[in-house]
Amino acid sequence: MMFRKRLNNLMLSWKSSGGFKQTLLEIVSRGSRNPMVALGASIIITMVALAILAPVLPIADPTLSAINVEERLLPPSGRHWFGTDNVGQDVFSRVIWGTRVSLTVASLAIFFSLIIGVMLGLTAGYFGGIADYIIAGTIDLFWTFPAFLLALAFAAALGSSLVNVILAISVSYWAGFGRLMRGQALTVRERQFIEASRALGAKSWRIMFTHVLPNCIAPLTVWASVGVADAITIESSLSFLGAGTPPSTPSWGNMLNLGMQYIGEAWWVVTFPGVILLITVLGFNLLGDGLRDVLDPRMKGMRR
Amino acid sequence: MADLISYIVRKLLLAIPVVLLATFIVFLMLHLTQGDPALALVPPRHTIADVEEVREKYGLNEPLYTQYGLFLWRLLHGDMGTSVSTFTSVSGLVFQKLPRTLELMAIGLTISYSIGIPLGVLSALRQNSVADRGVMVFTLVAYAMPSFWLGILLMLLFAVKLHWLPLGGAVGGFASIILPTVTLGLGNSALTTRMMRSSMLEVMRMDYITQLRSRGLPEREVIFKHGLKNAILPVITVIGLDIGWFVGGAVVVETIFSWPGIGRLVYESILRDDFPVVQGCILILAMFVVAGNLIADILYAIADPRVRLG
Amino acid sequence: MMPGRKPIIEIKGLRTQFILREGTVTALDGIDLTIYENESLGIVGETGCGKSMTAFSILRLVPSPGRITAGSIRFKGVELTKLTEDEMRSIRGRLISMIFQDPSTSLDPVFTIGSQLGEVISLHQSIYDEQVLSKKILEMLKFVKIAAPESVVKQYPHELSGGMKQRVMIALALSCNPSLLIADEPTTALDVTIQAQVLRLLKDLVKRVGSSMMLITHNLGIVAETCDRVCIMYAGRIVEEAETFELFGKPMHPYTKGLLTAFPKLGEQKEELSVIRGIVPNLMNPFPGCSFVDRCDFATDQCRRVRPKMAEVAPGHLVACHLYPSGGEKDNA
Repeated sequence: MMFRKRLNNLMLSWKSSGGFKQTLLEIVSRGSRNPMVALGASIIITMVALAILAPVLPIADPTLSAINVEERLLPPSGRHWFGTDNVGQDVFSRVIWGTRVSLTVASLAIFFSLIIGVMLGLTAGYFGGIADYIIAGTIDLFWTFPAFLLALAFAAALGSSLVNVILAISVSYWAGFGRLMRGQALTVRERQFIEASRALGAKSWRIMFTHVLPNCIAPLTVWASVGVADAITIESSLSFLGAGTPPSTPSWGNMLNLGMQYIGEAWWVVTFPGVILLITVLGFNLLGDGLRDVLDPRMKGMRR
Repeated sequence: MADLISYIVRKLLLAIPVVLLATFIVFLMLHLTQGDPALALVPPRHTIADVEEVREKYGLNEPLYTQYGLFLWRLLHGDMGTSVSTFTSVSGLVFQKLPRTLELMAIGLTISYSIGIPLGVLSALRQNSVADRGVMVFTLVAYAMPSFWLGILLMLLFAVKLHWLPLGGAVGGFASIILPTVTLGLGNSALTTRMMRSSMLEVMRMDYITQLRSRGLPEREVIFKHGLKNAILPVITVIGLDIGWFVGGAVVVETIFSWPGIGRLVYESILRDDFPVVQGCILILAMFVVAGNLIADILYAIADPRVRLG
Repeated sequence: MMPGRKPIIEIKGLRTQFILREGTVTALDGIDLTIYENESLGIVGETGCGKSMTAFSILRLVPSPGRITAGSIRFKGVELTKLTEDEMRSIRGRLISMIFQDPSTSLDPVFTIGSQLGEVISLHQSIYDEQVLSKKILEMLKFVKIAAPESVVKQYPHELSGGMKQRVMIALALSCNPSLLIADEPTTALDVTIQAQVLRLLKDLVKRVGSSMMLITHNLGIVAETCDRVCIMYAGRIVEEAETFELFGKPMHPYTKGLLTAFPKLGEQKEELSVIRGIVPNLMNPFPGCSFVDRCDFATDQCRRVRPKMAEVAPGHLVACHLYPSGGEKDNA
């Protein structure tokens, strides 16, 4: 009883506080009524939970110590829900551990992408002039390039490791965020209250953060969500090609790579990781699309 | 007509920086590798003398901008280096495999548009109906599905289980091209359908559509002669992005189906640490993307006269 | 009814509604309207009062989820609401045409002016010969006084100015000599300097072709210039109808009076712009009484309960207001 009342009061105060909190509240309340958002969010929460809880779940050990050649390539059964792979490891367990890899890589990659894009975009849009010219040009060039190809180039050059994959994706994907922020910064710059702020002596960075950024939370969330979906796809594609996560890591891409060789004998090795991959990517896409519908249907044009 | 020509020229000129950026990134790749860049350019079994030779030849002791200049110079002469595993010229290898990839992309694009455009139009005209919702679900799932997994699934179903189609390679004649192109085409059709649907929805809401009806035009003409022509324009621009998608997809699909194109070449070279070939492939693929965007821009200008001014 | 004049359009009890999830919006609530041969009827009212919806209803182009739910529309004796879609199509553009408000969005941007004109002409006049068609297209362009029609024929809509585009719209609408031309705010989107030109052209050409015109506008000045008779609409109902001079000289309905005084006249000294207080009522909850009741200075209890009927207070001058019950005229300053 008390809890509900306190929650209500908190929400009311957030509602009128403007800026971050208000937007966040709006997003959550309107979002939860949209079926796409609800479905997407449930999927994501499940996956994240699996990722976090993996070490404590009663599933087989995915590391090399569990190699048991006696049990290789067993079809799905009561003991091994998803069967075993070519070295006897339980596929179900590896798939769950795979969520850790994919989600970590994707979220970090998009996180860094976002930072790069936001910084560059804001600078370009807000300051204008020669900085804008150069940055906007760079954004356009990176934007037209397929991110996967760029990531492949970087990953192939840098070598196979988790850090390198994150780096490669971050550098390839930032252009979308850059474009978004630049556009927002440009529109806000025109507005009168910015002039007023400046007249009062506020520093540019302050203005950017307190005025421009809060307005962008909504589109940024949409793009970030879809970005994570894209990043997961890119990472698993890279891993599939052998240019992503190191071979010993239980990532979905790796599993599919290995599984390809046994496609004739063991269909389960390539199917289950793929299904989970599909569901996870779908979850993030649903969330992003649903949020976009909820927050601003006009944004539809921006998506590829 | 004149405005069209000037538009094309302008776009060609604008493409040059993009091409340069691509070459620069590819050039940088060499220096991002760990360790001595010269080592990436020599075969696994080499002597110290070989390494020195390479260092001289590619000017690896020179400052970066000189090296880049040399790189561009060699490129202009068609020299992309030598493969460290087959000892053949990289450009030779790449151009030999290029047509195979082009085949895949052309057919894949056709499949994608043949599915996407009708589905998108149907979906838009019957908005919120059962058919529309079905199409939306299809696009969501198809979009989320990574192209390599779709390929694996199709292979599993049609080649392994049903034995209808060959597992891969380009030798099976017509049959062997089906799975890779369908994989690419289906995956891309989700994008096309979405784009077509939203474009059509927007166009049908326009004033001139109602105006055309008020002139007594039959509904069929209003939709297909006027509505579709307007709605398809944004979809054409997306061809550029589509080509980018296809390029990435081709790499993966060719690997799965052992299709002897550039994509597969990239994969094998990564496996064999054949750095010059990887470089060459990425460069060619990048050129594809630039060319694709250019063609899309030009097509758009031909179709929509308003664009030629911009 | 005007004696001795043939009606082109007779609308009786027209009700057009939009059936939404939240409720039903009544855009037109029982409209009675007649347009005669060779006359220009002005329809005046605020945004949202149903003026455009009347036009769309006549042409049966009401956008879904809207529908005509009651009433009759007779065009030269033919009941339009009962025609099939094919039959309606042969009327649209040929016997009844319409000009929209914003010329920049009313023309298909990817077809040339010539091809759009040609499309309408060949459709309705069954002319397929290239030569004959081209001649007719050029004729029409000259008819609307477009200079250099030969080059305009090959141009695209975005290459023309607003005024020229509207002339093309007029050409399109008049190309098949319709009996009725509906012009929905034809000059609102144009530059003020062009407005007068286009209006004069419109008035002149309509007379030449021998059509009647239904001119929809919110601008009383245009009505005074161009129309023979005027209808005042409010919240989906017609509240007053008279010949133009009569209406301007002796407005009866409080709304009409409000409209006329709100327009400052040249040479008049005013301290404040007079306004009609209140806002337009919500069309989702149809009101039993007079829809103007909340904004009317003379409202009585009866006004709230009973909807006033149109009554003839002078020859050809009808008002729907309890101040003027049928058969009499009350003088309220």
